[in-house]
Amino acid sequence: MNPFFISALQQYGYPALWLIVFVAAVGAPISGNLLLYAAGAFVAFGDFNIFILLPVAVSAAVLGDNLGYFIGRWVGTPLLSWLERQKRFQFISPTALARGRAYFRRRTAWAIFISRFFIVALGGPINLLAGIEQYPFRNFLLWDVCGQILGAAIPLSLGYIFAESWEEVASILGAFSGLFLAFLTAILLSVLLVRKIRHRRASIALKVEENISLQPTMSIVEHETSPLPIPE
Amino acid sequence: MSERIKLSILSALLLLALVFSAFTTANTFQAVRNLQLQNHDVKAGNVSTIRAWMTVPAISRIYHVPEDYVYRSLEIANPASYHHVTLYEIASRKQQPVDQVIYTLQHAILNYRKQHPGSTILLRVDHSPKIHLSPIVGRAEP
Repeated sequence: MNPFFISALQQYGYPALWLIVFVAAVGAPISGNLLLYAAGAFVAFGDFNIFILLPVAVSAAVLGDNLGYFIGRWVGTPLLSWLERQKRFQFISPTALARGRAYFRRRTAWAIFISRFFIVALGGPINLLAGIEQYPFRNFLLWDVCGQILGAAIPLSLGYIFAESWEEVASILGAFSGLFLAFLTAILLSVLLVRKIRHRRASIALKVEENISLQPTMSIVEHETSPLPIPE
Repeated sequence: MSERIKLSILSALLLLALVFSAFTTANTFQAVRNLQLQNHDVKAGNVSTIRAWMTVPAISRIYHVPEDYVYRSLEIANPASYHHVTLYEIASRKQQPVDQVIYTLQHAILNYRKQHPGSTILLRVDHSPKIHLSPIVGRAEP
């Protein structure tokens, strides 16, 4: 964590925390989560009040997420449809893109909820995607608030409990979320690979069967179409 | 794209994901180990655990040293305006590297413990093999 942000937190208090968490939630490459660990530690040293910190952090994060969602909705949607019309930018086939979008739409609620407190790095992109996909705002807000309450309470309480070692605790949580993401990716890829191999085997087997079933017909056809014996 | 190429790309991606999983597993274990070491060092009062994010009141509380003494050792004339200032910011105001400020503090805390041998922290530290004075902000050398 950049010590500059922690210094700002100490010097300007709650407004600084609100601003940094808000900017981080919009999608800036700042870790608002780490700042919450530090804030929790400062609560233990008597510099902040946890009952003020929690609503400040939740409101900043929720507003930042909402801004990200509306950027996706207002800017992302027309941009994406424009990109889909441009043939030179079509790196992914429209079918694969549609399949991916349908997959995301089925799991948007979970994606929003989990990315608030567990895989925090994906929070910004998921807000944008939810906006682009025109996910209903009420549902987005509901899952976002629920997730962000956990997303603020976990680092604040861990920072408070492990005040002197909050950096190490934050790195454990970061490493653990990376581990979860890596395992999840590996499992998904394994499932995909197994399916592909099965599909390939099945199609090969089908081709072989077709060939076998075609062979007698071919012989009949060959027999029937064979030139007539020339009478001697 | 042919099926064979698709399968090769998927296999390569899976291999990458497995390598990343192994790396993150090692990273998680290392992070847990670091926390255990840090907790042990903090409980032992090891001065190598001083960090740039700490303020003078926090240092005073963690290492059981009076605030005035810490301010004096850092040559701060008006302590009231430094109550919410981190060591990083103190170093910036003094135009010194933060490691230098931490080094000064480590010396000051050890001197204080020598002058006040009745401190419970000092008794614990004296039995600990881990107490080292290091100018580098980081883990105590074994």
